[in-house]
Amino acid sequence: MRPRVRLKRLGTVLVLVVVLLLPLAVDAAVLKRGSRGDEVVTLQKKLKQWGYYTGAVDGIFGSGTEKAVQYFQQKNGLTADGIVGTKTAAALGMTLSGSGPASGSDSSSDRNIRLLAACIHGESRGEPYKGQVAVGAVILNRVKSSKFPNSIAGVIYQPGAFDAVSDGQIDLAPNESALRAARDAMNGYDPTYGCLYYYNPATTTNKWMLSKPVALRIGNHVFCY
Amino acid sequence: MKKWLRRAVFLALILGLAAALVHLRQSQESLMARQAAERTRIENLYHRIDDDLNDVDVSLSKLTAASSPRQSVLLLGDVWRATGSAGAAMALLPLSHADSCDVSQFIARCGDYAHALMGRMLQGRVLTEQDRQQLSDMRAACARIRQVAGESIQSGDFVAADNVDAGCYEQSQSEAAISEYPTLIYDGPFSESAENRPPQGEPGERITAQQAAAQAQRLFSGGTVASTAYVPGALPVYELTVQSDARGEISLSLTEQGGQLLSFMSTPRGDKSDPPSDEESRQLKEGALSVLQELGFEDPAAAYAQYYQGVAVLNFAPRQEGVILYSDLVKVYMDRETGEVMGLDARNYRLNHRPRDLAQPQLTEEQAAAYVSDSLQVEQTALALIPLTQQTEVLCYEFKATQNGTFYIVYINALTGEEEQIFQVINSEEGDLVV
Repeated sequence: MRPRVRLKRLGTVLVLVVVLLLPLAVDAAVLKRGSRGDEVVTLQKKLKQWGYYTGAVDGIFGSGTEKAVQYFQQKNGLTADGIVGTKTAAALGMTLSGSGPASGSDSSSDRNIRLLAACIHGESRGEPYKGQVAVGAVILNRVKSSKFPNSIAGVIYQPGAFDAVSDGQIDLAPNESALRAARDAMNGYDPTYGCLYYYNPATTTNKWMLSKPVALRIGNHVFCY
Repeated sequence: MKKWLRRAVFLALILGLAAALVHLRQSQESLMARQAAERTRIENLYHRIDDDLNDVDVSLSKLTAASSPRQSVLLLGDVWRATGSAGAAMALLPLSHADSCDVSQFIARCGDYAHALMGRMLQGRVLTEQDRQQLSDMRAACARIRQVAGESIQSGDFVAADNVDAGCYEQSQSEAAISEYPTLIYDGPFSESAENRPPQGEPGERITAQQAAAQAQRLFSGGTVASTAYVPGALPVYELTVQSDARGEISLSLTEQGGQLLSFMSTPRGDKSDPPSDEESRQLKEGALSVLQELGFEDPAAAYAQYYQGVAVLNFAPRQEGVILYSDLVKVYMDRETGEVMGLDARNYRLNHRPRDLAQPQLTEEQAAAYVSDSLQVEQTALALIPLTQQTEVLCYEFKATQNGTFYIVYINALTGEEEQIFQVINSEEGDLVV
C-alpha cells in the first residue's frame, strides 16, 4: 500500500512541475490556470471591472482567476470550465492572440468606418441606436475640434480617451447596427449637436467630467460640449 | 526503492522551485522592460515636442526678418509642419485631457493660423501689424510650453502611463505653468470665431414645447407624439419621438426658434447595400425631392449619393438664381426597401441658409474653363457658392472633369479666375464620395 501512496505523491509533484513549466509553452489561443502575461492582465482587469474578480491584477492565472472565470461563464450561459477559449473571450470582449479576426477592407475610408464602428460597438453595445450614432458623432466632433487629434485613429487611440480601447473591447467585431451607426455619423448625423464628451453618470466619479454642463442624455450616456 | 523515491521527490521539488523562480524573474524582467520601453517612448515624445516647438520659434524669428512673400510662405509652411508634428506627439502622451487640451488646442490653432496666412500671402496680400503682433505672442507662448517640456526632460519627471487609467479627464492637482494662451484672430477652421459660430439665418419666433409637439403631429400625422428633451446650445432644439405602426419610431428635432424641422431619423426595413439600378436611383431621387418640396426647401439640386445597409443617402444643395449653395446641404435618407423617406438632416441648411448677395461673375464660363488644368476633360459646368472657410464663401464655376478614369471637381473663382478648390470623387461601392 505504502509505495502506491508514495507513487501517487510523486505523480502529484511531477504534475506540479509540469504545470509550473507549462506556461512557458502555453497555447496562445487559450487562457487557463497557469497562463500568464498581458492577456491575463486584460482578463483580470475585465473580470474585476465587472465584479467577478477581487484578487490582484498580476497577470498570473491562478485559482482566484479560475474561479472568477467560472463564475463569469455560469452567469453568461457558457460551459463553466474555467478556461478562456474563443467563446468566453468573445463574451468578455477580448481577442486572444492568434484568434483575431482578419479584416479585408481596401480603402482608408473603409478602414476608418470599421475602426469607428468597432469603437462604437465597444463603447455603446446595448445602447439605443441613436446613442450608438451619438458615440460616433462625438468621435467625429473631436476630429473636427482643435482640442483633439485631427484623425479618427488619433482620437480613438488617444491614451485613456475610450474605455473600449483600454479594456480591449474595441477588438470585438462590430455588428450591423454599429456599422450603420458609423456610416450615419460619418454622413453628418449628429444626435449630440456637436458634443465632445460623454459619460455614464452611474459609473463615473470624474469630477472634471461631472463639472461640465450636461447638454443631453441618450440611453445611459450623458453628453456635454 | 524507498531511497530512490525520496530522491526523486526531492529532485522534483527542487526543479519545481527553480522553475517557479525562473518564472518570477522572467515576469519581473519583462515588466521592467515594458516600463523602460514606455518611459523611453514618452521621453522621445517630449524631445519631439521640444524640437518641433524650437523649429516653430526659429521660423517665426526668421519671419520677422523676411521681406519677400516667397520666403515668408516657406517659413509659414515650416511653422505649419512643425505644429502638426508637435500636435501629433502631444496626442500620444498619456496626459490627462483636462491638463493638456489647452496646449493641444493652442498648438493646433498656431498651425491653422500659419496655414491661413500662407493662403493669404499666396493671394498677394502682406502681413498686417495685427499679424506680426499675433505671431510674436504665439512665439512667446511656444517658448513657455518648451520651458515646461524642457524641465521634464531635465528632471526626468515624466507622466506615467498608469496615470491614464485612473481618470484621463481628471485635472491634476498641480496648476499647469502655462494657463493662458493668446487668442489668435484669423479666418480658419480652428479659429475661435469659427468654432463658436451662431446660425446665420433670420431667427424665427420662439416656440414652446407644446407648440413643438403640435408641429410634430402636423408633420407626422397618425403617430403618437412624445417630447423627449430640450437641448440648449448654438441652435436650441426640442427633441421628440413619433410612434406609429406604419413607420416604427421616428425621432425628430425641431428648432426652438421658428419650429423648423432640423432632422428626423427612423430605422430602415431592409439591408440592401448593392448599387441601385438607374430606375431605382431615379425613383429615390424623385421621392426625396417631393418630400423636400413639401417641407419648403427651395429649389434643391441633387449633389451626390451613398448606399449602405438598406439606406440611400441623397445630398441636395439649394440654389439661388441658379447658383448652387453648397454650405446649405440637406441630406435625405431613403429606405430602399419601401422607397420612402426615412430620415432627413437639415442642420447645415438651418445653420447657413439665408439669401446671399451674389456677385456678378466677371469671367465667362469659357474664360474660367481656361484656368482648368489641361490634363482634365471637363464634362459638366455650373455656378456654385462654395465655403472656403467657415466665414467666407466664394462664387465659383464648378467643373466636373475626368482624368484617366478618376473624377475631379475643380472650382474656379468666377471673379478672379483663382483655382480655389479641387475635390477628388471616390466612386466607391457605396456611392460617390467627395474627398
